[in-house]
Order: sequence, then C-alpha cells, then structure tokens
Amino acid sequence: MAARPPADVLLVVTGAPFASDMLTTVLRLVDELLRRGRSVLVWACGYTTMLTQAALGAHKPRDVDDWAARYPSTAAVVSGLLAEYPALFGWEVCAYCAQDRGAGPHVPGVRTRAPSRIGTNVAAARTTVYIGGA
Amino acid sequence: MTGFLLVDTGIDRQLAADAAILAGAGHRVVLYLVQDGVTRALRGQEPAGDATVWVDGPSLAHRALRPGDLRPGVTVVDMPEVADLLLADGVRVVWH
Repeated sequence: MAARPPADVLLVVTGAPFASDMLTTVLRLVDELLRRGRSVLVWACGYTTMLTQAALGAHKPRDVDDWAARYPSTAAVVSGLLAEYPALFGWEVCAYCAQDRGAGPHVPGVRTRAPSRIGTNVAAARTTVYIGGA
Repeated sequence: MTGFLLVDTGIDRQLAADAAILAGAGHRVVLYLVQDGVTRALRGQEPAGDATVWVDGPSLAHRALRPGDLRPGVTVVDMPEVADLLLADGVRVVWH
C-alpha cells in the first residue's frame, strides 16, 4: 500500500466517544473537509480506538422506538469514508490504547500504529486539532 | 496577528474568558460554541469581550433551542464556516 501524503488536517481524537456528541461533530467536520478535496487523517486514541472494530458489524443495534430503521455502525461509517475518499482520508488507531482496551481487529483500511507514530503525523500535518480528553 | 479558533463544547470550563483576553490583546478570535457549549450563547451568559462568537446551528436544533433564545451579537453557523477558518493560514485551533 502506497504511503499517504501528509494530511491537510490531522484530528487527534482521544475523548470517550459516547460521553457527548463529540463524534458527531468530528464526523461532520471530516465530511465537510473531504467534500472540499482536503486530506484528513484521524488518529484514534483512548476509547476512540473501539469505534472501528470489525465485530461491530454493519449496523447499530435496532432502535426499539423504530424497529424498521437501520443505522450504520461507526465502523461502517469509517469504512464508507475510506472507500469514498481513498486518497484523502485515513483512520489510524493507537496500538497501545487499542491493546489496553482489547479493541480489535479493525475493519479493513484502518491502520493500527505504534504510539510514537503520532509525532510523525503531527509533523507532517498542515493543521493539527486535538479533540477530547484521555 | 495570530488568529484563534476556540471551540467550546461545554465540557467543563468556559473558553469565553480566554477568548476575551486574546481578543483584548489584539488577536483575531472566533469562539465557536458547539454541542453543549451552545448553551453559553443563551441570554444572560458570559460575553466573550471583542471576540466573534459563533454558535453551531445543528447543536442548537438538537437541543430544541432557537436563534431567538440567543443573546444579541452571536452568529449561527454550520461546518462550512468552521472549515473555512480552520483551513485559513495562521489560525490556531483550541478544542475543549
């Protein structure tokens, strides 16, 4: 697999993803940037490493208030973005955080990286935004 | 002159005071209130000095808040405006 060029925007996402609507905001921003043709790399740390596990499947559990509705899992959303923007979008998972939480294996296209990789990513990115807390 | 985009998600401390200080020092500052942070744009909440205050429209809608609930002088925005500023040269982003 060819190395991806440096990202226009690196989003370091470390917060607990379901403690707030943080993930929705992040995905809205990612969508906006990609539709503009800008490259985006997400570095998933902490509990964010659990969002791309293959075991999550394609859909979220059924909505008891709307049994017929089907919503994509976070793993499916990330997979969709990777498929739609292969040259612009990347999602990397901190190996240490993932191992600490038993998170994995991940859906195809998501890369598991050593913690030290974050330094390389920050150095290569045009803009880095740190989101969330440990 | 450095520009700042301060993103206040409402987790704990308020960035309004920081925005006011930076703006008072002559920096170009946008305080973007999003998620629970939008409640800080309601009438009676702490102003942000000379900083520009943006409020996230979808976050308002998710909380059944309307622009009419907000104090005067704030601007309701969506991701295009945020992306424009984030991609601008010389802008530092603080997300809290």
